[in-house]
Parts: sequence; C-alpha cells; structure tokens
Amino acid sequence: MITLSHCLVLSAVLFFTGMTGFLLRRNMLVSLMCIELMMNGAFVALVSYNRFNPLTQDGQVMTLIGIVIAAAEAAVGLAIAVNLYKFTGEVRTDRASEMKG
Amino acid sequence: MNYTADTFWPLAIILALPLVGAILNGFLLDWIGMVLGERARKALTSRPVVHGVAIAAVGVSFLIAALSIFGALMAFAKTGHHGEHAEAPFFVMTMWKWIQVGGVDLDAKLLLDPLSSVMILVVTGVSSIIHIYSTGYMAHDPAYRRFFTYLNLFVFFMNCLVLGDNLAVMFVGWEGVGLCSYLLIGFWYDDRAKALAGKKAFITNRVGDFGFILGMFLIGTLTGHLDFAGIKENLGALTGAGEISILGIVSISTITLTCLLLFLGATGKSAQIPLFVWLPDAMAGPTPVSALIHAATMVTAGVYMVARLNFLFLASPPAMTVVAIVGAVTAITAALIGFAQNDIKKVLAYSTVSQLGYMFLAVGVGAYTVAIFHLMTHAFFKACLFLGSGSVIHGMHARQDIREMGGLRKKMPHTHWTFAVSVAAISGLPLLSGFFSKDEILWRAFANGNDYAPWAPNLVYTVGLITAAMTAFYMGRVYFMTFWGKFRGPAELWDKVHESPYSMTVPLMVLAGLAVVGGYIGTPAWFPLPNWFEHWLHPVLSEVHVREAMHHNLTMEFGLMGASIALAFCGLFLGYYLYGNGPHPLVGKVTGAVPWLYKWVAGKLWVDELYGLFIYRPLGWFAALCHRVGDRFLIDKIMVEGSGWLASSGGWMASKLHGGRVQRYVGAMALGMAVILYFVATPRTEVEIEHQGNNTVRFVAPYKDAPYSYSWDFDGDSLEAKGDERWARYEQVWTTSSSVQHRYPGPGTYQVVMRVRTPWKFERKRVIEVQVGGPGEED
Repeated sequence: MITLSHCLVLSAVLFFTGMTGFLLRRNMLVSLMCIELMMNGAFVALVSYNRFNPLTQDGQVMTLIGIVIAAAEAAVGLAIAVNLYKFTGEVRTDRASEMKG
Repeated sequence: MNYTADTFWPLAIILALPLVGAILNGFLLDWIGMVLGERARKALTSRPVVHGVAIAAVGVSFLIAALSIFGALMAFAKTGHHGEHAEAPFFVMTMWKWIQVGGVDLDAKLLLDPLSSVMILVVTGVSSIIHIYSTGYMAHDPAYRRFFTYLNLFVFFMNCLVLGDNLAVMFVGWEGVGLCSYLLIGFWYDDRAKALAGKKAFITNRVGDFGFILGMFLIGTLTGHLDFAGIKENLGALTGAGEISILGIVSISTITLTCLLLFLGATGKSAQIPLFVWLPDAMAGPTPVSALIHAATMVTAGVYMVARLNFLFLASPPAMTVVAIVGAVTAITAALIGFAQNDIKKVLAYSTVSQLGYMFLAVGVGAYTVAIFHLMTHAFFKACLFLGSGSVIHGMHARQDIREMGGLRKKMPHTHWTFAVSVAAISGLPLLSGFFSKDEILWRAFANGNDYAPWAPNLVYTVGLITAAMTAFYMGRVYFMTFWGKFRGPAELWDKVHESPYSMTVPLMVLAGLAVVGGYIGTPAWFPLPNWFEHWLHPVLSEVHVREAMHHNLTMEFGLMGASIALAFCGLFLGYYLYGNGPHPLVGKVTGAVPWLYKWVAGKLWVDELYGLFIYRPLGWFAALCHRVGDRFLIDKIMVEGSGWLASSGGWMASKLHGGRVQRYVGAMALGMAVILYFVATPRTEVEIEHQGNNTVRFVAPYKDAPYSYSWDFDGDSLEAKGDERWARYEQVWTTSSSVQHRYPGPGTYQVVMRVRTPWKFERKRVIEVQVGGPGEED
C-alpha cells in the first residue's frame, strides 16, 4: 500500500534532484528544467497531503494555480534564455552576472 | 450705576482695539487691498491710512477708558470723598474660561479698579500722544506700517498687563510687551548693533521672567489662586508655609522667597540692579519707542506689579527692605553713570533707570500710592524729555552727541521750552509735578517705619536725597549742553538745524503741560488742595504708616523739603555753571585729576564687562563645549554621519552577496532552508512546573499537538524506578502524553531529566531543577 510517507519521499527526491541539478549545472535550459523539477516536487507534496486528508481541495487548487504560474514563469525564463543567447552567444548562467551588486 | 458689574464689556474693547489696529495695519488692509486691486492696495497701505488706523485704535481706547473712569469717579465722589468709607470702583469683565485643568481654574478676566484705571489712563493717554508724535518723527521711514503695527501691538499687550485680573493674564501682557520691546529696539534690524541691543533686552528680560514665573508657581501652588482677590484671601497659605531651603545653603521663608522672585521679574522689566543693563542699550530703537516703552509705560510694569501685589509684599518686611535698598542703590548708581554720558538718549535712559529706582524705593518703604504717583508724573515729564530729545535728534539730522550741540534754543524754541519745563519737573523744582511726587517719596522714605531693619529709612532717605541733587545736576548738564552756549557741531550743520513740525511739537507741549499740572492731583497734606490721588487709590493699596514721631510733623517735613529744593537748585546751578556756556575748563580739570574714576563712570561702571567676564564668557564656553561635543561630535559625527555610514557600508556589504551568480543565490536559499528545517525538526523542551502540594509536581509540556514522545527521569539518577514510583523510571520508557505528574517521597531539590523525541527519533534532553516542598509551599 502506498502511504503518505511514500509520496513525501517521492516529493523530496524530486525536489532535491532539481536543486542539485540547479546548483551544479551551468546551462540555463537545464537550470530551468531543474526549477520545474523542484516545483513539481513541491506540487507532489501538496497534492498528496490533500489526497490523504481529502476534507477540502486546498492542495489541488493550489497546485493548479502553481502550474499556471510555472508555465508563465517558464515562458519568461525561456525568453530570457533567448535574449541571453543573442547577447552572449551561449546560455551559461555564470556568464549572465551583469546584475551583480 | 452698579460698580461690581462683572461683565463690563467696555474693558474688552479698551483691550482689543489696539490689537485690531495692529491686525489691520499688520496684514488685513494689505490683504483686502490685494483682493481689490493694486490701486486700492496702495491706498489702504498709504501713510495717512496707516497712522489714521493706529491713532484711532489707541485714541478710542483711551477715550473709552477715560469715559469709564470718569463715570466711576463721579459715582465715587458721591459715595464718599473722605477716603475711609469710599466704595472702590471695581469693574470686571470675564471674557472666557481660559484654563481648567486639575485644580487650576483660570479665567481670561479683566479688572478695572483704581490702580489699573490710573495705569490704563497713563498707558493709553501717553500712547496716543506718542502715536501722533511718531507720524512726524517716522515720516520718512520706509517701514512706516511695520512701526505702527508694532506700536499698536505694544499698547495691546500693555493693556493686557495692566487690566489683567490674575497673574496669568498679566504675564501674557508681561511677555508680550517684552516681545514688542525687542521688535522695536531692533526696529532698524539691518544695523547689527541695534539688532544685538534688541537681543540683549530680550535675554536680560528672560532672566527676570524666570523669577516671575517661579514666583507665580509658588503663589499658585500654595494659595490655589492666581487672581489678585483670591491670593489676598488665601495669603495665610503663603505666610504660614514655613521656610524653604535653597540647595541646603540658605533657608528663607516662603513669603519672602515669593516676593523676591517676583521682584526679580520686576528688576528685569523695570531695569533695576542687577538687570538694568539692557535699558541704556534699548535706546537703539526709534526715539518715540524710547519715550513710550522705555520711559513711560513698559518699564514701569515692575512697579505696577509690586504695587498690585502690595498685600503680598507687605507680608514680608525683609523683601520690602530689599526692594527699597535695591531701588535706592539703582537710583544713585544710574545717576552716577548719567554724569559721564554724552549721548543725549543715554543720559535720559540712565535717568529713567534712576527714576525707576525712586519708584522701587517708594514701594519698598511701603508708600505704594506715592510710587504710582511718581510713575504717572514720570511718564509725563520723561516722555516729554525723550520726545524732546527725539525732536533735537530730528533737527540735528540724526546726531545724538550733546558735545556736538549747543545753542539750539534759538533754532528750536518749542522743543527748548518743553524740554526746560520737563528738566525743571524731573529736578524737583517747586510746584511742578516731579516736585510733588519725588518729595513725597523722600518724605515717606524718611518717615515710614521699618521694624525689620530700623537703619533702612535713614539709609534710603540719604541715598535718595543725594540722588535728587545728582539728578538736577546731570539733567541740567544735558539741558545746558544742548540748548545753551555756542553751537559746537560742524558749522554747515547749523544752517540746516530746524524746528520740528507741529505733529511733533504739539505732543511735546501737551506733555509739558501735564508735567506742570499733573502733580496737583496728589499734593501733600500741607498743600491747600486735597490729595485726590491718594483718596482714589486708598481702597486698593495698603500702606506702611508713617512713624509715630513723624506724624503731622510739619517742621520736619518742611525741613526735609527745603533741603531737597536747595539741593535741586544747587544741582541745576552747578549744571549751568559748568555747562551753561560750553563745558567749563573746570570739568576737564576734575576729570583729568582722577582719570580712572572718569573712565570707570563713563564706561558705565564696567557692569557690561563684568557680566561679560563672569556670565557671558563662561556661558559662551559652555555653549561652545555643547556645540563641539554635543552638536558637532555626538549628533553630527556619530548620529547623522554614523547612521549614514552604517547604511552605506551595510549596503556595500550586502551588495557583495549579490554576485550575479544564480547558483549562489540558490545555494544560500538551500542553506537557509536547512537551518529552518533544523529548527522545525528539533523537538521543543519547554516545560511548565506546577506544584500540586503534597510533594506532588506536575510537568506540562505546552506543545500538546506536536507528535512528540516524552521520557522522564524524575530523580535524575538514570536508574529504573523501584516500587510504586510509577513514573520515576529510566529513560527508555516513552509516553506521548504531554503532561505527567510525580509524587516525591519528601521535600528537597530534585534533578529531573526530560527527553523529548520526534517520530523520526530526533531527540533532545533537558535537565530541570525542581524544588519540592519547603517553607514556601502550601500543603
């Protein structure tokens, strides 16, 4: 039987995979994908809490909103990546440090 | 007519009219003109409108006051002119409830009684005359409108001071006239010396006002009243208040302290020792101001205040003696300085200080009526002298040094004879107003008893008599130097010297006339006329009575009078002999024989320098210290620049965190998350200990809903419990209940080891000391 713990472990694995990837990779496209992974980890946690305590639909609604925002964010992120490519000829995040303090 | 009408509304009009004038001239007419257009604005702020409004405001105020008092006088004469049974005319106007906080209940209330009626007539009357004079004297001044605004404002505050029924209203006027005095002394503020003179007057007055306020507080807290009638009724609270110790050094009775504090206020306003230094400098203002504020009205406020509180001062013989001696010493000191001044206005200024000294001498010996009488006559002849000097300065094209004058009587006949009359009056020549008032002061100074200091009457009388001779001499000096002899100024000036216009000479003649006849309303007992003045003031002013031996002692009175008349003539004659035809060679010889003495006197006894050395300089040092340490270092450097430095350096440091590398941001985020997770995951070990009595203690962990399990080792011995000590077991036994209870075998201090564990076996330990039983615990 699948319990809440299994789901939470899945969520944590997803999240930390994404975070590790984000921290270690320099390619911006990969970074964006890693962000998606982290977000999906969080969404899995939300949905599974909702699934095991189904009095309300809070977790699912929140997840749906999150997915919409994630889509918009991905669009913005990709636009930045395209522009970055235009300016520098590559999409390495460590090159895009123009906005340092 | 009902005397005790308590809403006698004309009083409010008398008070408010000058304020209305000030508002109209100050800005209202200008604003109306702005609305109506440029032509109307010019017309509304033109000189005729300005002085028309100003003179009307003060003049109508005077007329209403005169009519009210005339009505009162008629009724007063009917009720009884024998003094003893006369009913005091007493008009009151409560304008509004002013302050009602706690025990304080103050009304904005005006009072017209015999004393304030004399003052209000002098104030508004002399003000009217001087307003008219100013139209001539200030005719060419660009700030004409400002001048009359200030002047009207001054009259308003002076009315407030005089008419106030309680110390608080009086204090509003007191401060207000100080403000106007400051504004008018520094009227030509682009001249730095004049602006500084204004500042000096204001600050010196503040010292006195400090005393006034403290005295007022003492009266208010002890009697619970600030209105004069209330203070008089509750005087016992002050006289019976015992002694006050000042810093543990001096012990002084409360009533004397109160009187001395109030008198300090009076010395500030009325330019007495030790606060007289501002008045001579105040001559920097326009001459009409010197005549009105610094001779006739404002500077007499101190005398008025002491006379108004006569019952208070009478209750403290030591304070009275101090007042009398300070007055006498001021009189002679100022007269001495007056010898060696060459600025015509400075001589008159010191003469004013000296005459004010006479007035304080009079109130100090308890002759209040005479003090007020001298105040009135002095207002006439001193205003006349000042306005005369203004006329001279005007004619001499702004020259004030009497060494440059001489022979002006041929060019300025009207100014000359009015000045001469006033000089005769102030010197005390017989049958002029100054003679009656000053002679009466001297007589009372000699004749009044003083049980507290029996030596005082002789002392103040002697000083007063010498001062009378000195007054005659220096007034003679200034008169003969100015109007007699040959002209000593530049020759081309002589042709330009001219008599002043009628707007200036007519007020002079009116004042000179008053200086002659003003004395006949308060003649001494031997004179064929009754002493109306004393009858009038008798109901409100208590007096110290004449000593038994001096009662009706006409021989003595005439003897003393003869002496003072002789001295006055001697003084004037000496003045004529030495200065009648230019300074006599003898003058140079005398001053040359003792040059240091002359320098000392001409340098105003170096009082300013002494104050500079002992007060001004140390204060300056202290201020510089505050400036350097407090302002420059603490506030500027540490607080202002320091906070700026903190923000900018903090920003610099924070900007270093902002490296532009996204991975580092996420790394920092992950670290932060780890820290938060650690704290969330760590079990909480707070516990509340409840003593249940009977050696039983209950332990309650506040986080009831947390999925913690607890283990308790109640005696801290890490051993399994024995027997029925159900919970005192070794740590391996876990419970999910957040509260446990344990009964100890007996009183004592026990060590309890508490362990808390989360479902994922994250564990924390806490050691608690528990006091069981003992004396404090109920069983």
